[in-house]
Amino acid sequence: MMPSEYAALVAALNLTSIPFAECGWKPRPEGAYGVVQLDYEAGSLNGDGGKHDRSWSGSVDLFYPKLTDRDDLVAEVEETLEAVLENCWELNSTQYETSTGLFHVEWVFECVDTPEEDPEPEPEPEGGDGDGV
Amino acid sequence: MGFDVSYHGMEEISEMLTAMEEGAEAAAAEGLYEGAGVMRKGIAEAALAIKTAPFKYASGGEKRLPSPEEKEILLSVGVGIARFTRNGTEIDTSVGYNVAGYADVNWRHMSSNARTNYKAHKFNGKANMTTSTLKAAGQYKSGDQDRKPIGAIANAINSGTSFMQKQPFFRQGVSKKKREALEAMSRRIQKRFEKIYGKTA
Repeated sequence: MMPSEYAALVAALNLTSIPFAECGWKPRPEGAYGVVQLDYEAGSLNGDGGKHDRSWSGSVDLFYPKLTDRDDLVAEVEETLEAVLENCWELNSTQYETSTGLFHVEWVFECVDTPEEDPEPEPEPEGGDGDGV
Repeated sequence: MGFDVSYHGMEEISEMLTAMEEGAEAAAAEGLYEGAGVMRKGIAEAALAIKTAPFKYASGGEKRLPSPEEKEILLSVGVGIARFTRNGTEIDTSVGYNVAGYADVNWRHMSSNARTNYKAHKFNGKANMTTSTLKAAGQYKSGDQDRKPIGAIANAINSGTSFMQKQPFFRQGVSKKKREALEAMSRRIQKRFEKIYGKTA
């Protein structure tokens, strides 16, 4: 099952001006493109004979032809990451591919599968101070 | 009527603190080395799990897997621990393939069934010599320009490229061993402190 935060991130990245695909492109598009994927399970809390709050590590890759600096694309991805995952991401690497002329920026993030929240319990009636005897 | 206040064992505590100041850096370095060793093991284990496929050029937007030769290079050089540096009161190191040197990666196309020569090179005992340094030292041989930095091969597998499938073995190895490394470090530092002032500390 897809973690809920990851689904939200994919949806948000698809709203940007960069074409994004999960796990890769075939064929590769011309110009700038992005890839987002989950890589491995980063850790989970166990309890009640089951797993709770599973957390996953994933990565966002941005490729663009290095004709000019494209800080706008980088900023766009970073703003999206911050909006969805707050601070659970970081810039992992940047590299230039001499053979293809593409510049590659890689971010890694961790996301959790937050279960659907229970409806808020009804507030207790006021007035019984102390132990309510 | 007054009352007396007396401290016992102040001298011992003072001695302990002095000893701690002297031994702290050595203990920290020992602990760091232990932790780096655990990390190194984790990355090496993760490198064993890299998926490979016989080399072929990635065409038509396809991605390729690393060739068995490239994986063999990573496994043969192993993971290194960098020289420790002081950073204020901290001691730092890094673990990885950064100074692993250069390797021949003259693999053949999968259709020609030729045996591939791969070899990790260390020039003059120093792994991280560049072409210009080699030329200046008069040690440059033809064919050296084909050698690829091993750190770049590791990075291409770990981060992926536009034509190489991403396999984040490095991050996964570090992530799996993080807790174990912390435990190993604190065990080692504890042991060192016990040596300095007995079992009671």
